[in-house]
Amino acid sequence: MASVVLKNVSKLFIINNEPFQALKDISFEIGEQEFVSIIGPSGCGKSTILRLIGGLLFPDEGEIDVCGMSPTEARKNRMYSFVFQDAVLFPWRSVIQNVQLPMEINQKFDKKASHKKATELLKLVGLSGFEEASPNQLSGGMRHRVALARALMSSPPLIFMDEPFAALDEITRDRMNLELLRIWSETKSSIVFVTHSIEEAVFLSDRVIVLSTRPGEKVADIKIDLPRPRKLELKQNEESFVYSNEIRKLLASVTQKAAEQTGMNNLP
Amino acid sequence: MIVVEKQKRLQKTALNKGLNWLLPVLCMGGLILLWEYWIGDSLKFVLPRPSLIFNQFIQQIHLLLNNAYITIFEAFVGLAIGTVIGVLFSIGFVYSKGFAKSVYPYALILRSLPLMAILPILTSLMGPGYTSKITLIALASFFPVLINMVQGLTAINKTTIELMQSLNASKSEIFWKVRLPSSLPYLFTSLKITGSGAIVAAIISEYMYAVNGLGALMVSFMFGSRLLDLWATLLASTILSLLVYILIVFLEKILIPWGKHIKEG
Repeated sequence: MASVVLKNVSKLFIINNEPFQALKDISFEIGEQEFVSIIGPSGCGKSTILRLIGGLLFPDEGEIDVCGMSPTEARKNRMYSFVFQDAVLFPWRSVIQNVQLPMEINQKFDKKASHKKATELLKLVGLSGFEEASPNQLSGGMRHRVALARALMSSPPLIFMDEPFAALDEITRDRMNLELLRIWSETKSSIVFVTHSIEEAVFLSDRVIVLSTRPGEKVADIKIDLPRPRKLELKQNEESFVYSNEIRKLLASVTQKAAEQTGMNNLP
Repeated sequence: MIVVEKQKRLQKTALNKGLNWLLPVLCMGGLILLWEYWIGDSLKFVLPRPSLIFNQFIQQIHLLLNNAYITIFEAFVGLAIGTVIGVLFSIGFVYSKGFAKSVYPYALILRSLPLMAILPILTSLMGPGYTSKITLIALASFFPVLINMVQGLTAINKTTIELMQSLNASKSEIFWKVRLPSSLPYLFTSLKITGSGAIVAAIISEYMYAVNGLGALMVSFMFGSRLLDLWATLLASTILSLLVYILIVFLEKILIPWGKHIKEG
């Protein structure tokens, strides 16, 4: 059974009184325990897809099914959690209190159980001993580990990650990629990962969905047939290059097309 | 060699740090000495010597304290009422555009009114007791709190809201868990303005129609031509105003140690 099903989803925004087709006729499925990346040029609506699946936005056309329910119901039932580019930690809470946040919302807060689980998750993300630290004392990479632990708090079947490591330096990013794969292998969640890094998408994913821009349309759905567990050397591997090149070519052609279109529109 | 250089540099910074507080102290001490031994003689009847003022301050300490209590009482009750109303209104502003639009003009008019000028009206409405003075102080504290709190309650970014929505948080959960804590640094910013302001407003409101309080004391000393006592009262009000400020800064450090990070990023 698939965790997420999108059928002919379109989304229109009105910007400055002009309609703007953000997504057009998007269909794909995400299986259980699958790691799927969505990649595309900036402004292609890849973050919008996450917000549609998460029930934070609503599609103008098409259907979305998340774990057999509507996105809104899935949200109410805590079927997913979000990790954003910004870690969004509250400085008035300690690290462990930040991780426990999901448990305090919408439900009776079992302090003891929640504290125990948060401690375990902080251990899982490699932050044992930082429970009582203030988020302000942490580095960028550590802040994202806290955000990841918070996302795992409700043990959701789905995790949506919106360019989570985009603001990190490359060395930290490589480390976080490895850590993410390790943590993912220990959970039973599917991950939908939005990124604009081709290498990152190839390295992490089972599948990479490539989007075009204006409107955002699915141009390819590429299965990444690389062995797991993945090691950093894989980034230098020839097979990885083949996948990266394929995606790079696709992205080049869609941006080229988009540029031509805007050029056409500018003609008198 | 490098180590020696570094040590020298460290020593230098230590010296600089020492200078940082030594300099203002020296500056102030110098000014007081200058006043004491130079200006003091030529302008004796306008600017009494600091040592005499201080002496008078010690001698009159009971009288000054007894009157300061009243000023403090008026200032604190007025400040508390003004702050609570300001906070409540700011919540109204943030959650209801209609409320904000209909109330804002009045808040602005209130802001533009010369507050001292409405004291006679308040006094004729409420009598010459504490109520009119407290009302005035509350009115004066209200606006800075309102403006800062509106800013504080709305100073959370879109991603934070999205995170809370993805957790299915209700509006009230977003308020208690995000908006309110992140607005506290802004509350303290406004308290730093209104805190000392409340003391000043209390003193000035006592100039009119008051028997007790530092302001009333000043007026009676003025009419009695008791210059030294007048200066001692001025010293007392300055210390009081300073203490209130220090108290607020202290409370800020204790209650929201994370506050400075919010304003930085």
